[in-house]
Amino acid sequence: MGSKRDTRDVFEDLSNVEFETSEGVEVIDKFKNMGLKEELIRGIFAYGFEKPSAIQQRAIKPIIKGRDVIAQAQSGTGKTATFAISILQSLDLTMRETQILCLSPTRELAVQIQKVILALGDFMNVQCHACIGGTNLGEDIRKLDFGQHVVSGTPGRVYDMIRRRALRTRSVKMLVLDEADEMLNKGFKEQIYDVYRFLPPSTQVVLISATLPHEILEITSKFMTDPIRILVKRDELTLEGIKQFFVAVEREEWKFDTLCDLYDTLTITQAVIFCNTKRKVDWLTEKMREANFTVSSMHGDMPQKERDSIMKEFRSGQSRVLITTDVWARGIDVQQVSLVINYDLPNNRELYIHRIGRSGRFGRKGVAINFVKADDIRILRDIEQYYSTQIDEMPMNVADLI
Amino acid sequence: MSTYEISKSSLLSLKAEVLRKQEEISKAKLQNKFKRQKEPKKLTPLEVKNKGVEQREIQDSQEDIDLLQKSRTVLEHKAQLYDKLCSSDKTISGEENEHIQKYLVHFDKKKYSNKESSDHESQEENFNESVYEPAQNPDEEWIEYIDCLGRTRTCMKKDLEFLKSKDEDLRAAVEKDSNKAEQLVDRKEQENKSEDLKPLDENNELLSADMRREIMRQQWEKEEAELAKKENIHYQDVLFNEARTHGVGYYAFSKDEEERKRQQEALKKLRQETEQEQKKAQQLKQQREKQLKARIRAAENRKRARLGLPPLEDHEDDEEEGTQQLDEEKEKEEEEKKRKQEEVEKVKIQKSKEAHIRPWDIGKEGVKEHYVYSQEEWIAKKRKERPDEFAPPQQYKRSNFRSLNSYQDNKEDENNKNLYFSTKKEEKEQSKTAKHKWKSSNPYKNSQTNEEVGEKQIIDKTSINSNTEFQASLIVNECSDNEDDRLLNDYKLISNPAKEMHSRGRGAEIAPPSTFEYYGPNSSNKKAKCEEKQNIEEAISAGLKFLRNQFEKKKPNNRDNEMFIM
Repeated sequence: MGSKRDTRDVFEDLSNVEFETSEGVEVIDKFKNMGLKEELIRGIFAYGFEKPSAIQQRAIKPIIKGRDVIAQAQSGTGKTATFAISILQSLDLTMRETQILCLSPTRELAVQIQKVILALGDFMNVQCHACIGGTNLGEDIRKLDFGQHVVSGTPGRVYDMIRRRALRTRSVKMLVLDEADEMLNKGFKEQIYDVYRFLPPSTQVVLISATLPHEILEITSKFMTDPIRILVKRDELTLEGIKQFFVAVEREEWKFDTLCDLYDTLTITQAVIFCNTKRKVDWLTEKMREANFTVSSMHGDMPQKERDSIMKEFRSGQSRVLITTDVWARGIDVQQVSLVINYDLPNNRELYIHRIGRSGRFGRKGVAINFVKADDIRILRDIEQYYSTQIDEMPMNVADLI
Repeated sequence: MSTYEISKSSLLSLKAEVLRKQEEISKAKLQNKFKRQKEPKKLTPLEVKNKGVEQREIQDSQEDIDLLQKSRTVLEHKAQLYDKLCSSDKTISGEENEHIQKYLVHFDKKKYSNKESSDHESQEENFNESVYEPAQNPDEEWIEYIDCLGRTRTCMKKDLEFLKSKDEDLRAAVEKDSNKAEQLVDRKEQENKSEDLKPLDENNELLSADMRREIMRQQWEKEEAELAKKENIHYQDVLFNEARTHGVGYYAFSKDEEERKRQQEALKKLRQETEQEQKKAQQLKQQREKQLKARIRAAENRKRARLGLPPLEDHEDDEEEGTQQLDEEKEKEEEEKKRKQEEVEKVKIQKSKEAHIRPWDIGKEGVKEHYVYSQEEWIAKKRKERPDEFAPPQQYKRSNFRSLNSYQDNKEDENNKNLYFSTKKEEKEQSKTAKHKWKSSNPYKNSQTNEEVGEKQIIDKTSINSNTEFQASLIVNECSDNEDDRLLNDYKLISNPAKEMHSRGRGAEIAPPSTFEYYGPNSSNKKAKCEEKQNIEEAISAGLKFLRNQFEKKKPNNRDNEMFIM
């Protein structure tokens, strides 16, 4: 790769370039052969991983080597762990300064990433801070003052902390963007840019997501150097383990009745119900409770404390049915969730993949049920075709599949 | 569908055939049944029984049956006797009466009680009197006593001592029990008291779901408050009762920092011990093998000595050891080599990264303030900024440049890379699709197909810029007398189809835009041969004015460009 070619990348129109998985990506099928620290390997096994998943076999090594990496893999196949392991391996634990910055689109996801990093690095005594909005600023500053090896956060608060000089970026050597396509979308791109401007030049950048549309891959040349790409074709993006169904309803009101009929199935393990708006989440929660069903709900307009408690309740299994918006669509990992209901169909194809990916975590079984009105069926068929997957009418014995 | 002739006879024969087959099948079935019966039943391991077990079982059950039969007959006999005794009070003869005396039961009692149930006590007295025989000696006299639990009991005088001692024992036992009970009660009271202070146990089954949730929330809040004080946060601190299955090697460290350290130390020690043990075991094994080999060798040597042969040489062993050591060394070396290689690779990657300047990095400390453009890049950039209105007019059609067709085919690749000069935002989509089609349908060969306008536009632009031959002809053309045509082509839509036809007829002689030299693809020092004409001046000033307008309009929303260069 001569630098001459690279500079021309800047001006090249990439809209017609087909991005493919880079050639010569090494596949390492054992954690032990990856050259990881011993404490880290211990943490990996303790967390429950035994054999690396496909993405872990391919992406960990290049990240450790210091290459810029764009990694795509199906939902629930261990992407978070992939970069968490790489992060932990590249850390210098003797230096108590922020060395790695990890940005994610939602606060819950940032907290989850912090948790995973702490879990995998438990034997290493790693320090990881969740720097998210809606929390006490002073406390955030104090925590950062103690010195954190890794900061996992949302762009707004992280930028704020950088500007206040509470988060020193001098030693940052890696920037990770989880759910990268969302992070580089219109709403977030400028915030990412703002943060990026404070990082040392040619910082290692790692992008991770289950969906990486072409237009996102196009702009990566602006902040990445000759990245290794590990991509998945879109017809391989849906998981075999997640069975997808639809229930056709004639009118919107019938969705509610259908949901009530399904309630017993929902509570077999845990279930997530997606609506498209916060107001609808509130409305549906209210209505379910009126009908004497126990449900909890969560969306972005709730105070952070409430969101926190609801997440903890759901994670601990205290609540079994969660009605929520797309704030929950990406990345959140609760092992016991085996059923996802799209009360409304998602607004784009990517979100569909992310939503149904809340079930069937790491090789478990999952079921996704879409409620569709007559005019929605067209959209569903489009999704079906786009991902070359199969969405059948819901069978009577759906409970057996969970 | 079928071409076969179906006659009656063939149908009949078919039917007959079917019948025959059916009969065969039924026969075969019967035979099979028979066969199956003949076959010895294969027993599953569960069904296999030891020899004699069944017999024993039968014997046992026979014994049981016999016993039951016996007890039944006895009971029947008893029942008969009872009936007899109950019913025949009047008809009892003297002999029988004597017989009755044998029984200590008052068989008439029921009858009496049925008749006169009013006076219960007197009856009981009666009963007592009749039941107990009058005492024959003072020892056998019935006496009453009160036991430790306050019950009035009767016994024979001679038994009193024994019963008293028993009563003592009972009292001791009872006291013990009561003590325990008291303690229990006390403890429970205490617990109740403490429960008022402590939070309720969330596992309590009696709690409602809401209550439990509330308790959990309180607990989490407390945990979080503690977290705020802590300097080091670990996994256990943020787990918050999550229902997650961990791996086999999972160890829940203490939340207390010192305790955690101790636990980690202990684990480390254990691990080291294990490793040492493993090493020792391996060494021991090796040693044993060695000894065994030595013994074998000694035996061999003795044999050889007896035969008068010289003893075997000792080389092999040493060699083996040597190879082992060599292997280890080799492994170490290889590891080191790998490590070194990786380090070299890392450095290489770092260097290549530093060599490349990312657009988003420009302006950062240590990076050049501005990107230094090469001439071509600068032109490309400026072309991107150029308003559409200054691009070559759409009227330039691919089909007009017949002379170019063959030349252009060779140059296609080059054009693909860097010669769009109007990839403006709003046009991007269009150009994307257009280019796609362009590639697939190879418009160079049949340019008269129904191509879209946009498509043609692109082709035109690229061709104009890349072709020096073409430029030469243009310059010649510019000086031609046919000025009106040229200007029309530049600034106005061709309204006169006849003229258009005319110009098309001349092939490559189409006039270029007057602005061409200005924005030409290379900075070769071409001289403007054109004479100054008023028309052109006017046109240029109009164009500049428009450009200014465009620029001012664009100014507020050029964030994207900023991000691009900074």
